[in-house]
Amino acid sequence: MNECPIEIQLTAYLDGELPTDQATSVEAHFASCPACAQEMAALRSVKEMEGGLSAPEVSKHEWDRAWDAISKRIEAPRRRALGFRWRWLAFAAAAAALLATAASIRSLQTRPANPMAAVPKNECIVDYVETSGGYSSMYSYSPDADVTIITLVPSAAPEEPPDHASGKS
Amino acid sequence: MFLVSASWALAQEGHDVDIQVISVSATGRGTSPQFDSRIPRGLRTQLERSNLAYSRYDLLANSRQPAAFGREVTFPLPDGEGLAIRASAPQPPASLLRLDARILDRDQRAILTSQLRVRYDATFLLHRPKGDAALILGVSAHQPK
Repeated sequence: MNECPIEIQLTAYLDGELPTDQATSVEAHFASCPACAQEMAALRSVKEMEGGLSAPEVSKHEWDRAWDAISKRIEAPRRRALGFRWRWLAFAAAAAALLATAASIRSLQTRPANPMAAVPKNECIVDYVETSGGYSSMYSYSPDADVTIITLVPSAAPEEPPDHASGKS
Repeated sequence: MFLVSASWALAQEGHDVDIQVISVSATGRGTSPQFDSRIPRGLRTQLERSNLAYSRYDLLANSRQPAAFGREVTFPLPDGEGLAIRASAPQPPASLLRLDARILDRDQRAILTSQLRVRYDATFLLHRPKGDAALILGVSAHQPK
């Protein structure tokens, strides 16, 4: 490969998406073109940075400002051919950061604000109930009262639990 | 002297949790129940909403005992019966206490053996009907004060 690969080829190479023959020729090109080798190194560092990104909390105001900045960069005239690649690189970095932020915001939106909020205040899990001596038992959960009730009655005169029977022994 | 000794003994065994048992006598049948004003508000609300449908609830006892994890504490009940509770340390990730609750007859034989996992301060009910009346026990575990 004598001509410099275009950006999309470089990113495809980086992601391992190039066919073997093209990947081989791109690698050969790096040996003879320090500029492309340098750009590949930069792209690789961006990718590594993206992989290690933590998800910061971003306010709506910061989110909007970031989008405005990116829009301006996209719409700005491309003045120099040499500068294009670095601008593209900056865009890729910003986009990676935004993707990570978007993922963070999405996960914040899908997660309950308080994970314990959905759990009943009187959470009670009955693992087992056994009786002996001529008794039987039933247990129930009353959602209105948010209470678990274990009822113990003589077997000879079984009595239904008041509501919502969920187990017997 | 006895109090000092008891406190020392408790300190040796460990005071990991407080077990509270509120004993309530329930009588009659009706839709607009009357409540003994000494019944704690939380338990009263649970009884009101639980559809147990007794017409009157009277407080018999409200006991709170310190306990060490793994050691059983016993609460006396009417008619010579007892309620034995053993708490085990909360386990992650849910941090629920394990409670082994047994109702003992007057001969100290377990007529009910149960194992539950509960949140601190959560109350569950043991309901023991006897004819038209019932003994209701509100059982909860609390972090020591």
